[in-house]
Amino acid sequence: MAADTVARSTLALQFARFRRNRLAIVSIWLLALIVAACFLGPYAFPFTGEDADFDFIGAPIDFTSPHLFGTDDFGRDLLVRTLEGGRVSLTIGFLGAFVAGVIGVLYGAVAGFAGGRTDSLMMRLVEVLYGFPYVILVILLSLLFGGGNTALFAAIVFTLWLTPAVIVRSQAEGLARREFVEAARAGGMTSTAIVLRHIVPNCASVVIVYGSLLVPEVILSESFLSFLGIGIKEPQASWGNLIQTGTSAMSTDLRLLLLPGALLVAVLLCLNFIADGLRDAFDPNDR
Amino acid sequence: MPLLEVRRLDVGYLIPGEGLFARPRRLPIVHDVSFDLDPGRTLGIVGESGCGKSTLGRALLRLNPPSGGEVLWRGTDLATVPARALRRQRAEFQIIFQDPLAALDPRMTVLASVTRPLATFAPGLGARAREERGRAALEKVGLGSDFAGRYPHELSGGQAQRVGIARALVGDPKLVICDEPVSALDVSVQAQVVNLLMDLQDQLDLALVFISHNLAVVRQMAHEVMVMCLGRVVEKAPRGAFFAAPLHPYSQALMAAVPEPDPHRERARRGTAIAGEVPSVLTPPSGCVFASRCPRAEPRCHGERPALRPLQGGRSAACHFIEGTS
Repeated sequence: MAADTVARSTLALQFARFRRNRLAIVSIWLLALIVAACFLGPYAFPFTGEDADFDFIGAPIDFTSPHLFGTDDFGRDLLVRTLEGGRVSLTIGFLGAFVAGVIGVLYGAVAGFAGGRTDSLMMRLVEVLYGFPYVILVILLSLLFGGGNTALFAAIVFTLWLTPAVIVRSQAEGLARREFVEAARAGGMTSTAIVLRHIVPNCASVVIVYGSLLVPEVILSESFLSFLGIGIKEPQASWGNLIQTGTSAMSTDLRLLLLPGALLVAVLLCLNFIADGLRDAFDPNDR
Repeated sequence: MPLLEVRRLDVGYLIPGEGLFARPRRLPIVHDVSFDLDPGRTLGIVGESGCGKSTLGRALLRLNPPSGGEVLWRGTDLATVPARALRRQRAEFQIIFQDPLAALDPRMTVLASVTRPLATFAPGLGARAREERGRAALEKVGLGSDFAGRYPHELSGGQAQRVGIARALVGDPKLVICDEPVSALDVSVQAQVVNLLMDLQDQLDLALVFISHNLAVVRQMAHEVMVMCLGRVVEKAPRGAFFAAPLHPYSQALMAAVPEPDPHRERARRGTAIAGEVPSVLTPPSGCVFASRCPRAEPRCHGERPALRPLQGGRSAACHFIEGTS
């Protein structure tokens, strides 16, 4: 090793490798652009997505009018509605993935570390929950929470923490047998501290990769549920219900479908390219 | 009072039963081990793979709980120490491992690994003071401060083992269990680590339990040698007497199995290897643990287990053919 080599953690090396993946980097910039547009864009307009403009009902694309991409049947600006819908979809996506990820990682780390009967019982519970029909669960939770975003969010988190739990558990199981865990116990660490300081950080690679796949998954299920009409409700917009409105007008006016659809596709592609890049950079098999 | 007194210690592992709700079974590994250890002394534990050396070492530190007998640390039974106090007290008895790289968290720098135990051992210490003690411990094992920021994958095996030793030393221990600390290292590096351990023992008056299957290293390090076979002690003797004339047939066989550097003598020595299979721990023999492989075995050896009897010169052995002093 050269004397001038700066000590670098494996995590730092992996990110350096990630930065060389051009497609992933472009995706990150594009995604950042879309996120910024969704969160800041609507403020650039004098009206919100819920304000009806009775002079422009069902107006077509016209870059000289105040409604650049036209309006829907209620005279609401399509671009603003799509951006606002993006805000909802992206928030649920990132927040849902984060919460589901944290729950799943901790659950899996504890199960894998504890091993034995605790592990068996915890993982049998996961299998039972896996078998639960998703849509029925959402409907049940909607009844429980009186519908709305909370129910949707709860249902998404409730179903999506399972896979990270299983993935992290298998990692944790192997890590728990490594000698540095024994050394930590000899060093007087409690089991909780060992899980948080040694097990979870060593699962970082898989968590980052899987977490980046979880975000599009959440966005997709939000859109899917809103499309079915059991997710985000009108007048609040989300990409799911905008696409749903768009498909019903598809034969006469494609515009209503294309704008939210294109943004959804762009975001999903970006997230998948990023996830792909992360996996290539973190995969321990080609080190 | 000796530092460590081990009285009739039994150790077993709990293995899960068949099916989810079956009771776990206890698999006995170590039987009836007793010894004393004084400060500044080294006990070498030798025996073939799977004889329970490492299990015993971990039980001494209560990293796995004994199933019988007791371990007295400076006169106190460790089983009676509450969990929280025991975690603090672990500063006094430490362990170093066989695979030095596996014993370091790959995501922690050397300094972080070394100072980590101080969070428990010296909770009042500030971050700066902790770092100083960590650097001092690294200094003791001959690693300069440019190693502090490195990650395990940037270390050689010998360097990693030094980091492991520094981590064990950071809480000022009185006893260090060395579980095959050199067997994963290159021969040239082995000597360095052995010398380091002996120097540290002199400087710090450390008691060492040195677990190894390498008789040459044990001969260099140990003051007393304990030979284990299938979880039982078959012979215990001061180093000089043991290496001059091992008494138990198993000890003799172990000694004879050491390869000879001289090819002529090595060829002449052929055939002294231990013949036969090691009995399974699941079905332990009812007689002597070595009977199935012993060249001198008689029917009595298979039926009746010989006790570990004290002999002249402070040694003891468990064999029907060796006359006891009592």
